Amino acid sequence: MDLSADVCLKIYTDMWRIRLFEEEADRQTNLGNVVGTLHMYCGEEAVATGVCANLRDDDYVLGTHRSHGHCLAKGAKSDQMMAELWGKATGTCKGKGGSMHVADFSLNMLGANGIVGAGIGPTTGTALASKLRGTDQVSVCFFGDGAAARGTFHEAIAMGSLWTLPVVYVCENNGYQQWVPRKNVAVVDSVADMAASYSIPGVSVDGQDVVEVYEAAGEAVKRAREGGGPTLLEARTYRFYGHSLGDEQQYRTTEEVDEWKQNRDPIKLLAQFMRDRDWLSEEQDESIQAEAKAEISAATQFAEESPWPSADEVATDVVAPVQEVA
Amino acid sequence: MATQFKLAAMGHTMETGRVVEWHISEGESIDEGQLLISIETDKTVVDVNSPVSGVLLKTVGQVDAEYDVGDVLAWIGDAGETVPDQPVEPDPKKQSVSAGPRVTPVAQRLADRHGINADAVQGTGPDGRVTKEDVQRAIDDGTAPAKAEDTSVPAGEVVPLSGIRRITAERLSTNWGVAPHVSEGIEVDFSRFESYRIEHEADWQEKWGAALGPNDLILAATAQVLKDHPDLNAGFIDGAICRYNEVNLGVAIDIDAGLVVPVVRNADKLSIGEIARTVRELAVQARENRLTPDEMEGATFSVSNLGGLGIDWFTPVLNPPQCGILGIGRIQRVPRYSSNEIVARDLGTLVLTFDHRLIDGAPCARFLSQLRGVLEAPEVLLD
Amino acid sequence: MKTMAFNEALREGLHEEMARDDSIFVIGEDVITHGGPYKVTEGVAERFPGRIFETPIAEAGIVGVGVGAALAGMRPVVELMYLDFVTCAMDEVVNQAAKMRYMSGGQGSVPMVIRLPCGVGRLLAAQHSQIMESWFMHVPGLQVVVPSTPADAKGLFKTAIRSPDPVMFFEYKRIYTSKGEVPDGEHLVPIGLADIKREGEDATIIAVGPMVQKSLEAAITLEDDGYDVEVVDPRSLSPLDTDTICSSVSKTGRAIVCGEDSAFAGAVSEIAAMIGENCFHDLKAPVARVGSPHVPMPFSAELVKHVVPSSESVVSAVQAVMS
Repeated sequence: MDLSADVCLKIYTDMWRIRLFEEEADRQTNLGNVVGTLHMYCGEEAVATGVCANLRDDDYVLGTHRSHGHCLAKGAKSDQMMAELWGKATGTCKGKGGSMHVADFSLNMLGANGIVGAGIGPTTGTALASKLRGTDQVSVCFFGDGAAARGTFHEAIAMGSLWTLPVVYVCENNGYQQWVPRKNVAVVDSVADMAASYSIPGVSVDGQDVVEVYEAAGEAVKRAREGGGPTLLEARTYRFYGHSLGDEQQYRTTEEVDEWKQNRDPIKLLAQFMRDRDWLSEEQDESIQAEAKAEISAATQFAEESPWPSADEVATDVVAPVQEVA
Repeated sequence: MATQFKLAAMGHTMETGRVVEWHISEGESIDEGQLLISIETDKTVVDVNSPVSGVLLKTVGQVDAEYDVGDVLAWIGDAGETVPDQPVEPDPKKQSVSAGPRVTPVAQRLADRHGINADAVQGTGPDGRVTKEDVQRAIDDGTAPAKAEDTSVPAGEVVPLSGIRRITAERLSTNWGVAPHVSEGIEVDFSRFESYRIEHEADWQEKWGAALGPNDLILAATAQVLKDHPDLNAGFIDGAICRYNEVNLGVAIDIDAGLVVPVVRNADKLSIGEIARTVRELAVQARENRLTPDEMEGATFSVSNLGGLGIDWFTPVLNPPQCGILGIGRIQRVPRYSSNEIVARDLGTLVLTFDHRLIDGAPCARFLSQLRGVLEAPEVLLD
Repeated sequence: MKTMAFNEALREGLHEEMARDDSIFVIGEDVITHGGPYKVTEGVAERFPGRIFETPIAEAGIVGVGVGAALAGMRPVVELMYLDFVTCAMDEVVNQAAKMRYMSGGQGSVPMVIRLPCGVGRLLAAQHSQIMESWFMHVPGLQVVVPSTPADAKGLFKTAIRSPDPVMFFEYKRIYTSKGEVPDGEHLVPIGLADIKREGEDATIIAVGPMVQKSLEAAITLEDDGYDVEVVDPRSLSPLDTDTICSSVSKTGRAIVCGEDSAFAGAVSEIAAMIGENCFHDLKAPVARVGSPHVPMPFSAELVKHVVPSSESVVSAVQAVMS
């Protein structure tokens, strides 16, 4: 799909939805309504939206612990997601998964994952399934630079390449493995360089530039869909907030963070890109932001008003309700 | 010392191998590395070379026979060396089983139950023993030889004890062995109660929701009188007399599966009507197999009535650990002398069985006497 | 009825299922060449080309791929060469496969069978002889299945493949070549249903895996003592058929729970505790456990024979309980 005004506006809208959802979720943690933990996606919005704008509903997406953005970009409903974060029965996972396991299987978004690097194998598996069934579905795995250290990264991509599977491995390299800068824990700076070990294309893009992400992802998705096998797509990005709740962020300076927020905010960059082409008027901009704000407020209200799960939900969904023998 | 040539494991799952061909004959010389034997494993045939040089003294493995990994297939050594008949390390699997009965006791038990002569059944157990499985197979196939006629024991159907029957058998026989059971009987005149019954049947039905009978009267009276006899409303527990604080009457009820004894709790605090209703409910539940464990536990004294079945009197057996049980016989209209006249009386016999470790005959006689007094002047219970 | 070996029965079951459902595929190391290390996957590559994958040595990756394929609607049959290697994929089994349905609130389903050749067979020592059934019984969301006969192997394997939830399928290596009768036609054994392999009156032996055969042998020896023992094969450890086990123990009043794994925190421990809770008033003796000592599997045969329980161990345990 070529980049057009419509596509840009959709991406822009989704980036605002994600930004506001994350900030609202954070606010709700201060109010004690969202508990446990939260891994905010702010600053990385261009990666989720730039990639997912190339995907169909039936393409598979698997994520990380920082996957609210992936879910929203894939089309999940913000009210069900907020309810999930609150632990309500109306959440995407009936309150049984929480922030780290949000999922919408109806959109083939097969979930965030609390184990770093755990999604790479399963995404290779969904790609294998598509190939076996002869569909042209594509599978996309989002993971961080830290995950590239895990054995699962190596094992899964090796098989993805070995069997020429329709998969795109998207590494969101935000330069920090939790509290540690990448350079302290890895000798290879660019994760894309690791693609050579698997004989697949490795592409590195500016993850704050959604146009670049969109175009590179488009190529990778096309390659996969047409039977050309996997791509390792690295998006160099930055998270504006700490790794998770309560991160004191002593490992980076406020100057660095501010610098990225001021000059490398993907939302601002896209807005400028669109204004340069007269694709975004001031009214449109205000209206998009207002609608996003209203949507997120409604999501909070929905979460607040939703019921808690009942006690008998504790023991359901462990295994299938009846042993169906097909 | 001759070398044992054993069957080696040559495949991942190899457990056994079949000898296909010997390439050297007994008595011939062979060099280390020379082709000795071909073995079939799973699906392929493997050629095996001799591990040593020498003379093939003895081939143990037969062509076409199957051997386990580790079995000795041949002996190789110097010419003229003798070869032991048994392998140097005896195979633990093949140790002989100690001599035992030709027919296992368990097989005999099963055979006896079905009237079968176990000795004539084909045995497949160790050393040819006849096992339970062999007997069962013979029964199922219909090939079981019938037991020879043993006229000293009458033939019959053997039914193992199970369920209530088994529990009853175990409990009562154990108790019989330790509690000296003594029984005392008295004749009670129920005429007054009977006349009240005829007169007030309808009132009682309305007042208490049940048609009262002699059994209800006896239960109510027993509950009251037992309060004055704490050594009888007692149990033998851990070598001591436990005088119960409550009067909970176990009422024996006959159901198809056997005898059950549900409990009327705190019978001394119930009216005769409440006792009557409770007993009827328990009887229904008993017959429908709906008694709960709670309803079966906690009796301090038991009562059993065979009068309805035409028994005049009987010696009931104690329900452990209780000290006493009252057995009720039938009430019959019989002639008795009153002064010098013959009058009709409704008489019934009550027999108390008691545990002589806890109480003696005289106090029990006093209990029965007091009980008779209440039964023969039942007004206090009927108001 | 047909006599066949345990691994043949598994193979037959696999072929039957793959013929009737093309969402089933096989994945594992060396599964094509030589028909697999245990010959269970023999013939699959020829008969169902494109539905069997020989992988690199990557257990975590293999199980991870299986999880994803299962979530996407396929039915992977994963072979791990030795149960011992499942530790390389524990995250994928425990944190992913077992929990997907629950964490997603019922949206996801992982109909995957993981085949686990286990137990001592040839002398391969500590890292190739483990059993660890209780590790997986302990994880909610996993089913744990342990057939002891070729008939049960085939029936349980077919049911496991058709199950909507992950199954840890334990195959004791030493009994791959043991033979037994397998019913003709469609033969399914439900998961969660125990089987009384021998009826008896005096004691109940609950036996797992190869201990079933050893218990049946022990039963014949025990007949000489006048003891008629019942042998119950749970067949599934999770879900566990507590009804059949408890009915049997209530009937006989004595329970001896046997497994080849260590009794300490092994499968037998859960079963023993469950019996203690439910059958206390019917027990005439304490519940006994027979298992291996709490040691890694040694190498030397002289040592191994003191580790793996035998039919004699079962006989002794029953005699102790009966006296």
